[in-house]
Amino acid sequence: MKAGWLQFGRKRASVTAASPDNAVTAPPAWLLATAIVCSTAALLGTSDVDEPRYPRTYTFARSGVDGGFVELTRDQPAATFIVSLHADDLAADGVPSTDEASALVDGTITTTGLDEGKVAPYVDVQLSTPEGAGTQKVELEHFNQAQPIYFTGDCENPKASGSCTAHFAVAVSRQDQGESGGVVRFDWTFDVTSKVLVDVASQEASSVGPVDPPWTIEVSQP
Amino acid sequence: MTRSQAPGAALVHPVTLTALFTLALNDHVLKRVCPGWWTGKLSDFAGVVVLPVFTHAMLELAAARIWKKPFDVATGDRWLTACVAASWLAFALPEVWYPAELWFRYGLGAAQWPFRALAAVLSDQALPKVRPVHATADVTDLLALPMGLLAFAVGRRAPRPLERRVTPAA
Repeated sequence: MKAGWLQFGRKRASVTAASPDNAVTAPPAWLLATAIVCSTAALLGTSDVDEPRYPRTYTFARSGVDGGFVELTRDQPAATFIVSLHADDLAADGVPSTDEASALVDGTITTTGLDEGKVAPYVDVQLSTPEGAGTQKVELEHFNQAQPIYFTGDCENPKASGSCTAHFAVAVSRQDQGESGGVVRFDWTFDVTSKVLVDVASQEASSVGPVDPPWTIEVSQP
Repeated sequence: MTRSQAPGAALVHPVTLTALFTLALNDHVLKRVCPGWWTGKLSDFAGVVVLPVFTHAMLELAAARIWKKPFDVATGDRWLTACVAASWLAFALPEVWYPAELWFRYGLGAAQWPFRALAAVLSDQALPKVRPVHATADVTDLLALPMGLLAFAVGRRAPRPLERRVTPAA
């Protein structure tokens, strides 16, 4: 049986040799050459080279966004601003722009028209997010504080989902509850930044930006 | 009913050309457009057909045109058997044995290097290093191995039993 299997070719050779109508049709040389080239290319190109991958840091920033102002008086000693950030699309190269986001709030406090003999009141400024993170500072003239913010929703496909958003609140209040009279004006601006790390096929680590993020930013007062 | 015996003829057999087209289409289009488990398998199924037919055709052509000693039917079929067996090993071992996977990745990477180097030279870029190709070992890829039998059917030169019966006497 074993010998028979090994000898199959020889047996068939004798049969074939006795067959005069076995065609020996050589394919055209150009067709054969094309097939060889295509086969070589297809077999060699069946797997991509494993390029080395290094991190690329994309930095997104929008600076000096106007938060508006509020005048804190005896009648309205406190106010709150809500900032909504909506990611409209992925950034260039198809990377999300919403990782490691933070806001840097910069406020100026000016006091005018206080009641006779009163000193300028301190102002509580509280930054907070719906996730519960927050910081609070008490200032007299100037406020500067960073606050991490968190995008939620489908941020991998923000354009299709329309649900990738982040919010933070800026709450200001006079410590004197307005008893000193006059007007305490709080003018503020803010910067928002984010940083996204993506592994890309590259020879070294690299960075892109800062570039403007594809976000819509709205400031409102409830 | 006869079979073509011209060296390399199996390379332009419709089955081979279909497998070749499938291999190229899947690797360069389908895997990117609609990646999934089936695109991972499709190239293996096509590759197990193309590789043995290709290597056997190269041997046939070398024997006929370089060494001027064309294979007779028996020798051709023995070499075809060897090519199918070698292709099975080339496809199967990297899926189940890590050292073989490394050989495959670096071997194919080295084979690709001259073309990548040529492309780099033509585009005025620095010569690339020899790098391994990307590969993911998956035992279920072994399901493609029976396609080697199709490659054998396409490449064999001896007539099938039915062909022998209908062949008229000399």
